[in-house]
Amino acid sequence: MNDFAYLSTFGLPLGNTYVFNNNYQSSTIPLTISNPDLKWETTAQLNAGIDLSFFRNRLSLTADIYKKKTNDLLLNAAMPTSTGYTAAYKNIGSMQNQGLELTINAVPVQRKNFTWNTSFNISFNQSKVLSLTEGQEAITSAIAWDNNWSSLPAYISKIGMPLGNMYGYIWDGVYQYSDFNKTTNGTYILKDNMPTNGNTRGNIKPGDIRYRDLNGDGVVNASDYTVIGRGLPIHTGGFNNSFTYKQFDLNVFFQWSYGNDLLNVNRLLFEGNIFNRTYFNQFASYEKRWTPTNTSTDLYRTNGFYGGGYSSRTVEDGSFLRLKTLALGYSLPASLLKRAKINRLRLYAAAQNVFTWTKYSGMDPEVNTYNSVLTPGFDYSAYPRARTITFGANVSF
Amino acid sequence: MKQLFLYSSILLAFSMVSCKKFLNTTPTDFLTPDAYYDSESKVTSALAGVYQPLGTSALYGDALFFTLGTGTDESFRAVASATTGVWVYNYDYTEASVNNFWSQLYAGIERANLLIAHINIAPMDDTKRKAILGEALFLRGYYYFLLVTNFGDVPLQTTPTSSPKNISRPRTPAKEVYAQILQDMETAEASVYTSTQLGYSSRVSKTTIEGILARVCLTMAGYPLLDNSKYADALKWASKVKASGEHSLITQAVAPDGDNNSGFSQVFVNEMQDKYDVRETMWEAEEKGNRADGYVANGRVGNDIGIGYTATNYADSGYCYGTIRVTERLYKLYGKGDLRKDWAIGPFSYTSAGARSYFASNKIYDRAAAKWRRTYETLTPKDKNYNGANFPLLRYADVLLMIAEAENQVNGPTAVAYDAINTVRRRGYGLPVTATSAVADLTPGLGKAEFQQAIQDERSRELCFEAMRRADLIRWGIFIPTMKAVAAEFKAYNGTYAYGANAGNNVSERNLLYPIPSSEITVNKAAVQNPGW
Repeated sequence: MNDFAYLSTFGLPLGNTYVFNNNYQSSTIPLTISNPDLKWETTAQLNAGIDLSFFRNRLSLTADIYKKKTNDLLLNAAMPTSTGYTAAYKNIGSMQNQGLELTINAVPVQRKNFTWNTSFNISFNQSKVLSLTEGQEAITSAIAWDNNWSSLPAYISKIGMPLGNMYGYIWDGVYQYSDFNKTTNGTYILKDNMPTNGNTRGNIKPGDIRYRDLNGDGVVNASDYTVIGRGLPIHTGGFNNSFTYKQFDLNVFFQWSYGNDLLNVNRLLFEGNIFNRTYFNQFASYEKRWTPTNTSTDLYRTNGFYGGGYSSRTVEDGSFLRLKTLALGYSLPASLLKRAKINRLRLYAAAQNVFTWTKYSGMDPEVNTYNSVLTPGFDYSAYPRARTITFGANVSF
Repeated sequence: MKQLFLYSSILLAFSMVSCKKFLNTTPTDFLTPDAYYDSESKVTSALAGVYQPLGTSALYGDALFFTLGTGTDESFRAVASATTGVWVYNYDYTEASVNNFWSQLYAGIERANLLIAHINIAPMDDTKRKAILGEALFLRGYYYFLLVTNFGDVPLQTTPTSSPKNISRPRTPAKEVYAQILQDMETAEASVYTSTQLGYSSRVSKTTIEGILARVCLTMAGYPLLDNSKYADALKWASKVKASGEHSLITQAVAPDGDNNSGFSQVFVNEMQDKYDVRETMWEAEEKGNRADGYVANGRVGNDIGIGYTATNYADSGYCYGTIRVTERLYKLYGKGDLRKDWAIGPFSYTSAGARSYFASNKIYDRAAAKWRRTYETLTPKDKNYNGANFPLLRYADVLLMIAEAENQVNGPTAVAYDAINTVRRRGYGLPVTATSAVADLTPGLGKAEFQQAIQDERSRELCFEAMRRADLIRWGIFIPTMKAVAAEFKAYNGTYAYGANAGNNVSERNLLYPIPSSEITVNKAAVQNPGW
């Protein structure tokens, strides 16, 4: 953001040129709205830490707790478009982060032929919205991955709750034949006590997607949105072990994240084809979709999607444990190398992203396509994380 | 030592007098509002900014005759797989075209409000100032007119948005919005230039405002306000246009050929060639160029509505998707000898080699909406998707039909009403517009209701695809039954185009208004969604 963000600005963009009497006429348009009350955000932070070590540094422990309060949080916040603007820089409120970071380093074994070094760290973070300006209870954030979805709230940050929670409908499977009355001419009419999915009642057919009508007014719309996922993890951490045995060395590094959800938008397209695109291949799971002969399923029929919100159908547990690094090395004995005038020669093989234990159905649980503190864990068309295997030699003369 | 200390403190005190002078608090790379609006040329630029939304793809550059304007009893989109979208009334409040439509209109309103608030700063000729103020007021009214007819109650604001704080904006009742529209447009009518003084159609003239006021009043007289007293006002305003003597119908093609053979077709040829004729085409959304000069003031009329031409040598003929096809209902409306039929409805398609292939008489749904034909564009090279063709916002033919409709409502099917509709019909048949004609003239002696039906059909024949049909059907209170009847016709046809019934099948009560779009309602907590959305 620039130094003059508090002033309103005008411009004459080429793309907004109009035409008077068959001549181009540059047009002046307001670009941003002034906000004389705009100020820089401030933070206050409190840290307390402790370092302990035992057994001649064979075991050490570091613990840190922190509490950080950010006031006058700055955001280019969405404006109702009826103001003539789509967004404006605003101080939207204050938030708090608090947490604990714990690191343990240990050398359990240290012998001539065998050593084992291990380190373990874990961090817990809790974020919380403390207050919001203009009497708002919550601010929502949209993600512009597609034109029609660009102003649809995907995340909500509510007072007293963590930042970046996923927001939308609770998914309730599909409408079944039993939810309809069959008319004499063979068409199916949704029973009066069944809520709609946002579509007009008469257009809903068996096999269409169904959402939960939270306020019970018989119609599913934006007032039935609720928190459908947790964007930020409860704890994350890493666990590293390195071993040496005679001439061999081995490094094993694990990493994890626990308690966060991911919004798997790829499934909207590839497991349901919501835009009804032609020649658009689908995931294998699409075979399980609802058809008149396969009704015991919860995946809607072809063309059976109705939008108007994200739903818990595509929110998935994003917790994972990943074997991030595995490296094995062998150093040739010095006696062998002396003749070749080589000081040291180590051969090794290393692999990155070796294996991941997760329930997440997408390519990579570490994904974050539209990363910001308000919009964590969004998966749309991300590059998959590569599994890298390296072979090599370190030689020093 | 003491002295040195004293001197240095004095020196220090002086140097600290004014920090402010060294810190530049005025930006140098953009304009602030007070530094703006201070000369005639800047005010003119600001006015262009108020007009500019008209030509964008969200309004008359594309969406209003394509995405938003297609699903009527005149046309459908001939793409079998397009089972979602506004064309077939299967969409929700996140729909991009509805969002863009709404936000472009409000962007125009904000620009108008800014210009109106700062109109007195620039030293300039007072007549010019009054005209610019009038145009800004009119456009604000016009944008609110598009909002209120399409969304119902909308937030009404007549001063610039002053701060980003105020984001709870309740919807103002439609009646109050209409009152503001009338006030703005009536004030404007007294202060802008006449059509003759302007000589071009990109800026609004006195008679244009009168014509649009007639349209606003006719709308108020219809659904949902049903304010009967407004028929007389509509008649008053439309009659003023006629009385000005500045307007008439174009009666001849300039360079006639087998296709462009009447004054009617010449109207649209003019638009493709970016030529003005303000006698008939009173106000247009103005476009220019072919994107070869770096500007993007273009629209897509002729490209996504027109006779399909997808051969590779489109540089000469102009590329066209040609997916907007006509209904059987429109096709059958035209009588024998009506020259408008084969211009408004393409009687042929192009083969992949670019040659013409004329349709057999039973092929109806294959025919494209063809008022705007890219073969007539003169500016080369032709861009694949964009051109400089203008789009009509008010034609004198529309004014005449409004006279006929309002006169019939106020006084019944009088000679005045007959004369107005027959003038339009005779021109359509390529006959002298002032001489009675047994072929072209409407059956004499119709009752009031029959005459109204004749007006409804005539508006389709004359004004089809000009982004007016849906609003017309709604104000007449027949949108839903008409769409259902069209769906039944598609079903009865039962051929390749049976899917054309999708729009009519999906239409329900909620489609009388668009949903308040997501870009508004997810942020504006004071706004309530329209029923059924």
